Amino acid sequence: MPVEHVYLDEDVPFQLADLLGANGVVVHLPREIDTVSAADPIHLQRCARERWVLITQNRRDFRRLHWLWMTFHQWQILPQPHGGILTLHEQEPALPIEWAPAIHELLESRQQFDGLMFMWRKSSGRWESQPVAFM
Amino acid sequence: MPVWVLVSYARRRKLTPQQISELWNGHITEQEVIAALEYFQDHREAVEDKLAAEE
Repeated sequence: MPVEHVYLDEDVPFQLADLLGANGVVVHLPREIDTVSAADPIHLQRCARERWVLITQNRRDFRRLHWLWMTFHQWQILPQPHGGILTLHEQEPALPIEWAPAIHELLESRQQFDGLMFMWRKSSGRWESQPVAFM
Repeated sequence: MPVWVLVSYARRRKLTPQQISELWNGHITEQEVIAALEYFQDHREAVEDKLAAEE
């Protein structure tokens, strides 16, 4: 069964939640689970615990967290990988009407996103996988 | 709500405060977007680094 639960970081417009929800995705928002203004690692930790895919426009910080989390996982400091991270590759912030179809298509295409990070490149309409480690 | 993302929609997507507010279904008001843009004008150094990183 494809992934059904996602979590929108605070930098992602609510309209994206509406569009994903209309396609059967269960969308969790910080204001609904008391994580408003939480630090980035807290958002990712909550998603990992719940097995939700995190969607953010904060590419730089979550890419670092992705590398850090997966390194700690490989060292067996963290018992499980994070639940997956989706973000953008390019400079412009995403309009929900542009990004939602791509997210939905990616969610439909995979059974799980554990430990994976994908960046969407608007110019090509493609998702690119981020390596697990920096080096 | 991070200021940088509101500024980014205004600068990169050329959206008006009203259009940005609509992206959040009005939960962020037009006045709050305007306030964020004014904060950016007055404290550019506090936001520029984040903008540059995501741009």
